Amino acid sequence: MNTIKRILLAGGLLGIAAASGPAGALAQRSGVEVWAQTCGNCHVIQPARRYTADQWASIMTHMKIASRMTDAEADAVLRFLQRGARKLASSEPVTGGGRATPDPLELAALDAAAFLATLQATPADGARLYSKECKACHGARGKGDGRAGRTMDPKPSDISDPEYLASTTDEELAQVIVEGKGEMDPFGDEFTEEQIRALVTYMRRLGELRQKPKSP
Amino acid sequence: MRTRRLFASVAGGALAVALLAAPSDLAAQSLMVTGYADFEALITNPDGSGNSNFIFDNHHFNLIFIGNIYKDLFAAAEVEYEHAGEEIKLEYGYLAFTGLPDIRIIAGKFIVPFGRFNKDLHPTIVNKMPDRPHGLKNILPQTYSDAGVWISGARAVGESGVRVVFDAFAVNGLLGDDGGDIRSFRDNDREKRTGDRDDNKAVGGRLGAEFGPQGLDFGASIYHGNYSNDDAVDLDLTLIGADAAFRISGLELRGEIVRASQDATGGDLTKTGGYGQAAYFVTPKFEPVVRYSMRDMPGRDADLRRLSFGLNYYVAAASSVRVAYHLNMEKEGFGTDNNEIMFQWNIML
Repeated sequence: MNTIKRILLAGGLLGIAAASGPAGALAQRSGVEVWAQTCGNCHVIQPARRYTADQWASIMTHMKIASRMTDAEADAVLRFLQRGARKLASSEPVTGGGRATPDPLELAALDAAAFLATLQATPADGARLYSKECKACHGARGKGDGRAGRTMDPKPSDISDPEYLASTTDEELAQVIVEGKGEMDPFGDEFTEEQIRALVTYMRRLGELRQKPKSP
Repeated sequence: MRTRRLFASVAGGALAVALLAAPSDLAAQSLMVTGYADFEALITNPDGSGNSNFIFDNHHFNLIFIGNIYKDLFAAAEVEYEHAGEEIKLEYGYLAFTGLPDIRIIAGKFIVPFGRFNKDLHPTIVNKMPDRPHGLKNILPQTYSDAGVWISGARAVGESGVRVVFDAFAVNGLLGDDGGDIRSFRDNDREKRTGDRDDNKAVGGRLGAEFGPQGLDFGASIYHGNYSNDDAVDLDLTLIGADAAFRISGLELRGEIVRASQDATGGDLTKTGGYGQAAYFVTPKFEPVVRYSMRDMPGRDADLRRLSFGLNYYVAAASSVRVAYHLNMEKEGFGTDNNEIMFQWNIML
């Protein structure tokens, strides 16, 4: 084996060894975060309702290979996309010949126990939840200017608009989070009631910050 | 021979489409069709200083078939219908095993994972300009795909949020004439080889790091193999490349450089090419782009400097319109005799 090939082999083994480690912080990134930061690195992000749940399963395997996501990241993005996937005309759940891909709601139900156990261990920190799940589309200040929402039609709502917040009750804000709206996926299976309340509180805080006069 | 290959490609594509339209038991295998298509208009010498050409082109109508076939087995293929059907070939067709944690084993024909543009950024729905960077085409012959085996994966680095990504491959390799143009070295298949040939394969890989939350990624790539199509002569070709990208808010900065060291009986050749690019979303729909491409080849004549100005309009998430003006320059200054205007409308199928 010539010198170049020896170097390649050694470098490859060294790289793999150096890269070994627990899933760590990456496993804790939400599907939304990975979707916005990894998928959006190469191409314009496609809305979840463009494909069915079964199609998203095939696409995510293809993208996992293309973008070199970890398995945990790809699974998180797939769960997020399948929540808002386009429904087939038939009411029968679709199962692939390969990996079984049940109806999104069924998937969420299967997942809920494990998911909620993880989420309920997470403090109902509205700012942190917003950063992980909402900022990608609604922007850092809630103005609807998030990177992932750039080409959505209609654009993500300006959820820190003081006039909008003044004319909307907390229950109505919570309902949008649970059921989704327009291009926005439903998040009802992802958050506890306490976390939804924390998000609504944080949205109101963003509105207050918009109204705050700037320092001279 | 070419007719036979063309017929096989068309027949294969038609068969695939027919299978996909078949009843639900076949559709239950999760096989789906996607792809991308575009329409282009190209004007050369728009300032009238030389011979001018105005050409319409259906540059790509490429169908991509992907599907989870069984448990951790996955298959993907892309059939290219390019230049209004004048060029039809299989860009890639592979089987993948995804059952190992964070590691994928791929076998078949695949786009060689050298750098970023060749594998990830070349499709017209992704490439932010309606043309490939000129600096890379004759060094790393994009789009370069080959038959072989590829291992790919990713690993988290502790709690830092950093991902290390790696690719390692062994392929048939680029094959061509002594000291020839690397771009002509593709398609090393059974029909291109003449007579007996040794069993040398080309090897290579890419090692990269991605800082997702910080919007930064970079990597280094290598390729090495014997490119001689004469089994009496050993001529090595080594490519070394580096790539980097940075994103913040609506701004993206990206660049890549490749150097080829090519053995030749008439004197070894060194070829270097690369590009740097900046793009910024001034509004959610409009994105101006600037790209600088360069290429240094043995002998001055093939050297190139190109400065490109482009504007993208995103009609929808799945479609954009791109316009670009290419200033093709010689080393000493701006040449105005072969500039180009390109218009492209692309869509994700």
